[in-house]
Amino acid sequence: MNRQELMHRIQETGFALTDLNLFLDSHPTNAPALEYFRDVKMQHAELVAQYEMMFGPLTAFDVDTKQGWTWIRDPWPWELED
Amino acid sequence: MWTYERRLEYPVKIKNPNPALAKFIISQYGGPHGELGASLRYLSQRCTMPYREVAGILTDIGTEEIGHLEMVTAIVHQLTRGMTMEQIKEAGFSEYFVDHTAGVYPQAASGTPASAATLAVTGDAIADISEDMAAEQKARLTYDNILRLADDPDVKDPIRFLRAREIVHYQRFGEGLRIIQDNLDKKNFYAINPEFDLR
Repeated sequence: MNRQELMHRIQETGFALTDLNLFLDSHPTNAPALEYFRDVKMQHAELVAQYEMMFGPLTAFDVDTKQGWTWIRDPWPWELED
Repeated sequence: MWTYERRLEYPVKIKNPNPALAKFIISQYGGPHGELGASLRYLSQRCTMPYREVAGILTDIGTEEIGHLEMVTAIVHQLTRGMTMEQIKEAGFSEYFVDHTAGVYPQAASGTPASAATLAVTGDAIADISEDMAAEQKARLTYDNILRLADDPDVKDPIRFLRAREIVHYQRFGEGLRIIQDNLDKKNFYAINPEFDLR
């Protein structure tokens, strides 16, 4: 996967988590939603780890400083046209 | 505490500058039904919300609205970067340009700066959540009007996403209202204000 494809996958799983988060706030005991959240959370974490290894950090706390301060190295999301 | 994630919630990829569209889309950043007011409304109201589920809804929708504010600023930025002086004059963008150049300023389409006068924090659970449901519908109808006015598919795609989210938020706030009422006296929901009288 190139950077853009991987980012799209992260946007998909990230969106699923955001939407489930809201649903679970008002349905905190819904078993299928809890299970789905667990599955998507795992997928999302794997995609984020892969992205950060290949293309750089998604949060400032994820910077690997052995490579320098990579947080400000690449275009920001509003200019990147993902 | 909030942490910035280096990604948009949904892609914004606009190829052609078009200040005429930016002129009214900016209302969903700083206008009366915009995302800035939405996030501040919910994140302020949550402080005194006594029911954990509803405080969670206010926190998490307020947070998503910050992500939406980011998308709207990205749309306005991509519509105004690289615009020519001819495009600025033809689009009637001069009034904005003279004060803000190609910067992104939180204002309504009318030019009025973003104002907390467009939101309410009443400290009353039923009143606040009812306001929030109306706010989501007002944001939805503003996106409907933007879709009527905009002709660029690159712009319409993320606007459709934002519109759909308002409908989901309306649904979640409706459930929040039900949760509040389930906690109150069923014979008279208004007997007390749970944000004040149950401290």
